[in-house]
Amino acid sequence: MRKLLPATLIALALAAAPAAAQPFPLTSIALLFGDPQGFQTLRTTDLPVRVTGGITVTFAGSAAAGCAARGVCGYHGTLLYDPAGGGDITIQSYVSAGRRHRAVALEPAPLDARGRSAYTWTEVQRDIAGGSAGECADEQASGGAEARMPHGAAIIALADLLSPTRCAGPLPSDLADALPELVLNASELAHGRRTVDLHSVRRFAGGGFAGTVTSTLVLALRTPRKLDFQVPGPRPRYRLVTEAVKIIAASGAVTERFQGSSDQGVCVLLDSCGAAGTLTLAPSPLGATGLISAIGPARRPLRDFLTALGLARGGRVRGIAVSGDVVWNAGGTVSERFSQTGSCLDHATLGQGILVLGLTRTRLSAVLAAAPPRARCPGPVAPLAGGIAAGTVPRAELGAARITVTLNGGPSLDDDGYTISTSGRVSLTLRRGRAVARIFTGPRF
Amino acid sequence: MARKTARVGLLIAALAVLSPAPAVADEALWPQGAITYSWHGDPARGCAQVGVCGVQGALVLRPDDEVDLSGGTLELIDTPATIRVRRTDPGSSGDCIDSPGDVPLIALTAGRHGAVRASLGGVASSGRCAGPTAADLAPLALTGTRTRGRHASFDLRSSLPFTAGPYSGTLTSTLVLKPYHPQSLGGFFGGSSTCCSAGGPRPHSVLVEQVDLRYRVALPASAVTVSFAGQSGPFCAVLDACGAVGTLRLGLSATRGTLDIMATRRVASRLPRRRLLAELRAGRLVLEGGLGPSLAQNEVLSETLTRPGAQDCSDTQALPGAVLLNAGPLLVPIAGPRVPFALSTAGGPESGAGIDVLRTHCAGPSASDVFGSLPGPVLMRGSLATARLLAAHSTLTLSGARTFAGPGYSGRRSGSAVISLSLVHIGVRTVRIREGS
Repeated sequence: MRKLLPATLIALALAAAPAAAQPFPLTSIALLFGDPQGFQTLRTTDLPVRVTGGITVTFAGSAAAGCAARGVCGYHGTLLYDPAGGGDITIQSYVSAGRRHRAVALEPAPLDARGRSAYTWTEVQRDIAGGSAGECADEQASGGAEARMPHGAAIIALADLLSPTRCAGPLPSDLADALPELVLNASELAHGRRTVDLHSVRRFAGGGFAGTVTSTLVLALRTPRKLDFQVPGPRPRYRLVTEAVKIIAASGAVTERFQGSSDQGVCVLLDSCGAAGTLTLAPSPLGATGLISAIGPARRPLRDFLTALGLARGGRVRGIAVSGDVVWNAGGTVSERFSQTGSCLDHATLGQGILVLGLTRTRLSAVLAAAPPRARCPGPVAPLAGGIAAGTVPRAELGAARITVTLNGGPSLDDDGYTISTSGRVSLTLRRGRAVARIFTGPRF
Repeated sequence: MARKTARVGLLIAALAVLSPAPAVADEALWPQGAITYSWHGDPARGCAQVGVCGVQGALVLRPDDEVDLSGGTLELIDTPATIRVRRTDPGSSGDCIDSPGDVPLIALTAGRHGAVRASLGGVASSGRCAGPTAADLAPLALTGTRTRGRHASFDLRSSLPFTAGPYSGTLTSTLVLKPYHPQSLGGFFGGSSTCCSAGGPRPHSVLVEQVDLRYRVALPASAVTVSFAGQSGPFCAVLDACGAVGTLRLGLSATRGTLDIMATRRVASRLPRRRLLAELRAGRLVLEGGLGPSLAQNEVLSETLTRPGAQDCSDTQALPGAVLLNAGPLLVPIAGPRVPFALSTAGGPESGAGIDVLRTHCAGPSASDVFGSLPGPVLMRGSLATARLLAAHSTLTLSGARTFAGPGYSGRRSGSAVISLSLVHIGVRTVRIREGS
């Protein structure tokens, strides 16, 4: 396989996105090899965790929580989070801009022997006065959660473990205050071997819904182990040239128009029959920073790398791999209009996003992707691959200090129970920083 | 997605970036659309007798990433796939959501004038939910076209009604596969490197002594029974297992067959036959785990499932050739004082490995839930002293009593069988093999 799978890279880059406290952008290359701009991983430790129990949320549209304004008064249901056995707490020590930092994240284990990993499941009934009833059942894989790191302790919000589904219901952010937090001090992170009981029962109200959140989660921390990502074998020398980039202007929006599947055998299971609506995504990555990197054998002259980045002419670019990404934690809004027997109108914060950059022989390409945009109304969970929008600019424009790329909405998509067509465009202006080179040894490719 | 997974993935990604392009003419395609199997209990198909008239469901495979066309097969790696089944009985209802565990592969068969048939093999089923089995869906094939030109493009949009036991349904495809163009999709890397050739050990030859043993095997009629119930707690709802109680019985008919075992040892110089057999008795030869022949030819799986307020589900499936007798370890050759044996599951004749031998048209736990999944679902285990391998006759007792828990269901399985082995052939030979090339 020579080419990277787009969805894979986007997902990887999103997963590797920096915690809010992390002052330096972590691109794929930087995470692997360190970065001449100042980032270097010092140590990565894995703390295996066995997780039992789960999270149960029962909810219903609530007038007191503002359901009428959103049009969700007719929905009620259950949300379950199943950790499927556990996962790992990863503790990464790194240097950035001359200072030591630490990043901690709770990650679900990959698929277990029975083919399951952590997931969020919802079953939601629609019972609108004067309208027909329906039932939606859906499941989404749950991801990990980054910790806040105040004063050396790691605080992980359990709400971050939940994933929105295609059914109506509260967003994870609505439940954050009703869920306990996992708090681990430095000693617990270093030594593990502790059981953390996160049992709790709390009420929540917000976003048009109210209900009860029950956590029966119990985490058993095991013994930490240092992770070694070194690939055995010869370690040739490589040259890495990186260039910092920053998004200094962003405008526009992408609209996903969706409608329930015409296949009755499918739409009835997601209660999407006869549904239609729009999701308008307006990302706001202003100020987000990232890197464009060129990597190749160390024996190749610097000029080749600079030419590959568009910073020089006359070099030979064949054999130099160029990639780039700009990642931001959250920014912008997602607005949803949904109509079926009733109508639902909601908006939420657009989650983590990434701009993936690449160079072909003639053009700089860019793909804008984001965590699946969801609001509290029912609706599709748009596929990640291909991104929200994509665009290119001529490679010749790489010589400029500022690059403006216009990204157009992607092609039509099939989502379970929905079909989606996208339109609109987003314009992003990137300011390029200085290029820095470094020689390092790495595994033989 | 997990951060650690991300890092490992990033490493793999970097390796991929700097690897040379493959020499074979595999093609990368970009998918658009989905493949959907939808079904419902059909009175005309006898759903009332099975107890599934209130069932309707769908399996949706939605490729959303690059698809590799390799050797006439489309590899839908990491394809999101969801099984959703709704049960509506007079006294209760529930939703079951599951995921098929295996990587879907679409086998393409070229026809005349660009026509193609696309078959998903045996991986598509209703999983732990009520619905068609893999054997029901395996024969179904999509029809489509392949455009001519330098790069392949496939239009697999089609619709096909099907029947599956007590169910009727429709296979609907909106899948179109177009050539993958990194630029149009925002490709990420513009360069590739051929800087670094892969290293490796220098080829050399080694001398190996090999003993081939053949046994005549007789298995009496036996059965594996599984009693199960929906787990307590909220998570049984995910598989609509709350309050469910059931039994599965996999009956194995009496049968006979042959079983081959190969034992090897590297040597500096040839060994006399007598000494080699003595080494075998002493457990110093490495046993190559070999899959024996399909031992039981008439396996029958029956299931009963009851739920409060719901119609009982009862179904029987024939699973010809689904159980194999394995001698030796399944994955890693070993030497030692005992030789492990196992009755394990295999694919049906149409589908290859991976078929779930506990799947009827009712809901219930999967074979991997009940029997484990690594190195493969094992129904019964036993072992034989290595020194007995050269005995003229031996009896081997296999048993499989064990509890299991989750997802959705917990329960207990049991079963035993006494197998007789008669040694009918011993072959000894010396072979020279080349390694490292």
